[in-house]
Amino acid sequence: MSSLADQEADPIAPHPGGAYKIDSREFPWWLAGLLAIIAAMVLAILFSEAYQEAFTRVFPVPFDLIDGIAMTFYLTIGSFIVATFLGLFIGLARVSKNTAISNLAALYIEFIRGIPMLVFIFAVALVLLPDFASLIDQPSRAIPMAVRGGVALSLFYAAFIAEVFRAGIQSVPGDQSQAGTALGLTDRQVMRKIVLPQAVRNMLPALGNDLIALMKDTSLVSVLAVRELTQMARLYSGSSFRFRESFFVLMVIYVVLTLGLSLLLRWYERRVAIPGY
Amino acid sequence: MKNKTRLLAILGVFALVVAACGDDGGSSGGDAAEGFTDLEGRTVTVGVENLYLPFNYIPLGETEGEGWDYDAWTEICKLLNCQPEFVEAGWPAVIDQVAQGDLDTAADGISITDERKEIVDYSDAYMVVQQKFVMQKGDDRYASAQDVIDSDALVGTQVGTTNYELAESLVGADRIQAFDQFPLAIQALIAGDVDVVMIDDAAGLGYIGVNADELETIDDGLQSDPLGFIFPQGSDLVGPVNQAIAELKVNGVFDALGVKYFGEDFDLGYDEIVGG
Repeated sequence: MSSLADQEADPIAPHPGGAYKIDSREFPWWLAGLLAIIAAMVLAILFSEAYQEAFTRVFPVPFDLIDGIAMTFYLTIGSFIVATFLGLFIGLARVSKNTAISNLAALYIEFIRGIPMLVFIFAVALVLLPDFASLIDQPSRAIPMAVRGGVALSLFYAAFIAEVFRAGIQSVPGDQSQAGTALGLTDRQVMRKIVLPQAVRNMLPALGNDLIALMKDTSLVSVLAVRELTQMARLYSGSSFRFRESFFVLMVIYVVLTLGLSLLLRWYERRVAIPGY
Repeated sequence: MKNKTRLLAILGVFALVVAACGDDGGSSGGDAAEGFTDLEGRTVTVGVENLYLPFNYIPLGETEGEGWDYDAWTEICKLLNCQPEFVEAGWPAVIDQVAQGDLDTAADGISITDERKEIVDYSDAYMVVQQKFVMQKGDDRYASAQDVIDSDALVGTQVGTTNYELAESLVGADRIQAFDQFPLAIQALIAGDVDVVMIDDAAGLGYIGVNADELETIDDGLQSDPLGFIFPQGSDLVGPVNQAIAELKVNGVFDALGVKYFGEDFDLGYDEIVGG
């Protein structure tokens, strides 16, 4: 497996002799294009009152500082952490040698993956969580909609992350675990100390993709009237009827967020890469 | 699965803490007006959409809602000594939330229907609205509601409303485009994606107020709908609220609200925004 460092040779690398040469095939033109779009939007916001108004409504500053973005972040990060923990356990269950456990895990994964996210959000927020609340004898009003949306996102992405874990675990060569057993480690120790650490490095790109997908899916939680970014745009355009400005600004904000996240993830992948693997 | 339950329990506790911190306690220290049930300053959570002019909406330049429903509930709570807390909710999910007891009540121009009465309790009707068609200003294709029905006009409206039900009975489901919220239906009308919008006349006035150059109402009223506030079944608020509604109808407060929100002076300050 070629190293991550090799896969993206620095497109602006110093050549022997000291001169810099831009390789037009390797240069990230897509990134330059995206940045140009973002710059155009920034200019529009600076010079058009209509766009300014839309921006401050969707991205309220300064006193209601980043209301919508904060909620989007809480939903993304909170749900992702829970989904990763759940996904780890379900993924391990999936590869378990115990037939019952691995089949239960497979049932969960296949069921969830068959449901559209929007449908699942409604089902969890309006049916499953209220039923759960009455099961544990609590008023369902104790669970705010934002939490319900987060639970829906977590349960949904846990299934996808479980598959990522399974693939990552299975991608570690069998001789690694055999060597571990030969050294006298129990199955659990082999998993914890030998297989999982290597698996996680392989899984980082896929996990990163799921994180970005989750961030975009937080916009669906707006159907529960949770005040994240998309809902802020809907509320504003519902009174002002400035749909064009609202939704262009909204799109660009999402692109900036996902782009930032994506670049952050790439940097992290490079950091943990082991040369030669 | 122990981990999931524990996590959900932790989330639930966290949510309770957040909810408790967000509540300002609601003790107004005041008294109910004479002859009315005293609710002792308790907080009443009122579900609103904030996307239904002029009943509940977010004015330009603000982040909190305003509207007929807000003012009405403030007045009701003055009489009953309670504290209204407005909570945004989706439509028609808000009906389900009230039925489950997640909200004490909801105010969103909700028509009183027998099907809804099966899952929620209603206050007395506080207003009667007429359902009407709204069309593009100057559109000469339709002189009356019957023209709309007889032609192949596409009708825009909101899901889960009596507007949808009436439209379905008049023109059939194939000719209806049902949107999540009314602003989307109105925008579709302005853009020409639908030919008319079926809406309560009170709300129609609100949207025309904001888009005065583009829309007008077709005057034929198609159905009268009484509007009421919804409550969880068996709620102890219904009686007191009915008392308050009766009083506000005769003491001129509802009339004043009508002038404020359904009169010609209704203005969101839209004109102050240059351009468009």
